[in-house]
Amino acid sequence: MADLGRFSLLAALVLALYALAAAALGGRGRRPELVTSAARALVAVAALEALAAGMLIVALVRRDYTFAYVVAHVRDAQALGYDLTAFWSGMEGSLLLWALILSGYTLVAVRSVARTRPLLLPGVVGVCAGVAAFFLFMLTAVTPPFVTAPFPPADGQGMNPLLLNPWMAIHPPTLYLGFVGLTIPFAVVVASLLTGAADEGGVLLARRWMLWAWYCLSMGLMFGAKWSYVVLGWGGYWAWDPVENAALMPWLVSTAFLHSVLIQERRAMLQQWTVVLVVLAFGLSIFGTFLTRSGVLSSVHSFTQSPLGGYFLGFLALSMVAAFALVAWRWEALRSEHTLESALSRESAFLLNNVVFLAVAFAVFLGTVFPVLSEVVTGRRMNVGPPFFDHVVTPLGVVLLLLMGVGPLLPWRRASAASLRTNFLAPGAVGILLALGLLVAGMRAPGAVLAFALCGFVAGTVILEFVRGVRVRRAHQGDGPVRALAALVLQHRRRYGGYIVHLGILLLFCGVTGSSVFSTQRLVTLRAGEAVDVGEYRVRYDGLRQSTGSGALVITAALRAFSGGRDLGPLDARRTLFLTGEDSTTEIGLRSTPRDDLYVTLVGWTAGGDATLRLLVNPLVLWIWAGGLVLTAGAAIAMVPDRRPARVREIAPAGAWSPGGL
Amino acid sequence: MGVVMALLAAAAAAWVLAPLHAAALSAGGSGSRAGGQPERLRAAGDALRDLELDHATGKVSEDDYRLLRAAYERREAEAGRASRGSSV
Repeated sequence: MADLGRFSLLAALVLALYALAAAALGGRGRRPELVTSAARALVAVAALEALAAGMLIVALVRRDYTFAYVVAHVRDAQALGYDLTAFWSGMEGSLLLWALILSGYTLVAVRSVARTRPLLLPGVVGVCAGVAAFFLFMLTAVTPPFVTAPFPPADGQGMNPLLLNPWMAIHPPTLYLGFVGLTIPFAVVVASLLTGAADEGGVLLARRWMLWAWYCLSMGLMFGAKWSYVVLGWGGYWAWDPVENAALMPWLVSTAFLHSVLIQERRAMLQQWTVVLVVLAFGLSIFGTFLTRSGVLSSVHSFTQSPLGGYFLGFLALSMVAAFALVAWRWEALRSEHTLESALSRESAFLLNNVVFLAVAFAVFLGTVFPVLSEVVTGRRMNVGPPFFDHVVTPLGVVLLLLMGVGPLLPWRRASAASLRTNFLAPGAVGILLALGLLVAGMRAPGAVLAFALCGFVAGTVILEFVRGVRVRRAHQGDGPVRALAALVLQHRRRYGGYIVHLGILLLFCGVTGSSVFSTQRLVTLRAGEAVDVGEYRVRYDGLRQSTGSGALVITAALRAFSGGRDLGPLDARRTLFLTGEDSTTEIGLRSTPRDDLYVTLVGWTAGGDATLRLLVNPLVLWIWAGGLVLTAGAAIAMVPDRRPARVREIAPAGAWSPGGL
Repeated sequence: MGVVMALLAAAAAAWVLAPLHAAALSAGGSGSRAGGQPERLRAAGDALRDLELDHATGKVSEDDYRLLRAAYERREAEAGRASRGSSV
């Protein structure tokens, strides 16, 4: 079986290289049959990768310890579900997943491009084949997944216990769906630049893919934060860890793209900028994979150390140099026909939003690579740590929040004094009243008051947009309010889907502000029967329990929570010590409400039964996860394809690059 | 296992090279390289719909509405012409 797996990957590599060459020759020599053959080679690549992946999964599920990968990531006592997730928990498997997702995306993209922009097909096929060839080279020559163990052991080592969690089961593949998804917009844009068809059509085609990749990155980040919160036991969800930053950077750049592409669509501006954002987002996705997989920077999320770094950096350098050379070559053709007409316009707000997003991305990049840069320059590795990120990113985040409210209220081209008055009065009043209300209620943290007031202002703008739209719809169509709302959202999916995404971001922002400014923490050692107050809660410690099973010793601190004399129920916190190694995992005691989270970690214990506990009250954390759900709803609405016929009917080009037979 | 690999290789080669063989048989009957641009058409349609809404809610002045509407209609017509041209 290992031989067949190795053969599949090697054959896939040969076919990917063939596809690259055939697409290049076919595009250059205007030979559609070569391009079709290249596209078909990518179908075969996908099939062979699926075969290889299937064989690896079968080996994992059957716990076939003749495979070194299975030995490293599976053990007999491991739950079957985690045998499946072991597929992407190791480097070799995760690279195979990368390649497999890319092939899936490529097949969809090739069919779509062949139908709508056949001129771009050779370029799209060529770029996708090139990226696939790189990952297949890694899988065949550098980190092969089908290495056999010379002396198969009776049992495997199993996965790192920290990975045995449902959030970590879905976090990596979701993030990969996002990282890999950035390849397709890159391929479309490179194809546009290569062919000279660098009009807005290519970028608009890239937009749909970018939205999907952005959504997957958003969810991947959210799942990772949830995992960090419930598994690592430190009470937080974001630590500016290099691997977290690796996913955040392409998210920031793709968010900037999704706003700038709107300016390009509506005002025929910023095409050069938009193309650069697509290239940067792809580069950062490769950089992110490099950070995650190379082990060059230590991280709580990185579970591998490997020699891949040089290869990834080489590929990154090659692809960025080639792409930016193409951008430079077509720079004049990408020049926009319009310029900004007023600083008080929606396009100005969106442009400023883009600049700030890029500034945040640059700050995160600099802070992330600073340890490596400092080592190169001074010979000493220095970390900047969370305070640097907090100081730089927080004010920029507040500016972005303000722009999120201002942008939708401003008209395209220029705003008049009258329109400013009309549009800003109600949301501005909401923000000011909220700030006054919070001050009267006793909130004395100026940063938090400002952040909540801005959230109120932005929520006011979004609600105002919905109310006005519904009112217009009712006036023109005579619909009831619910029907008018549904019709409004369906007719303007991107616009109102975007507003709903903004509401999700607002919830997230409120949660982050509440939990970071108003968190209360206590570290105490208690004897059985003693209680401790934290925030408005009282937690009673009722003693330690021990149990064993599956090669692990589980220590449970029996806890009970109370609020205002009311019994809220048990809040047990656990530590699991694995007898096979030095690893241990934490299971927190958590009581979550919309107001706050009561969060308890068992830090240590004595033979006499005393327990050392870390107790936190984190306000509004639930709002962060709720924000993720709202964001999902908004993104889903924005992503639903428009099936309405175009006003000018699209006629399929006769005999274009045929996707026939794919 | 060797037979399976050989069969896989043969099947992949046949699948990938079939278009070259078909093209040789049809004496190089290639088609147009041009293509339609439904994304541009759709984007122009979206822009017009949003502009109408902005106009109806009083967000855009009358002058800007006329100017933007003319620009969007021009771009829609251009995208439409490109689509029709590609089919010729």
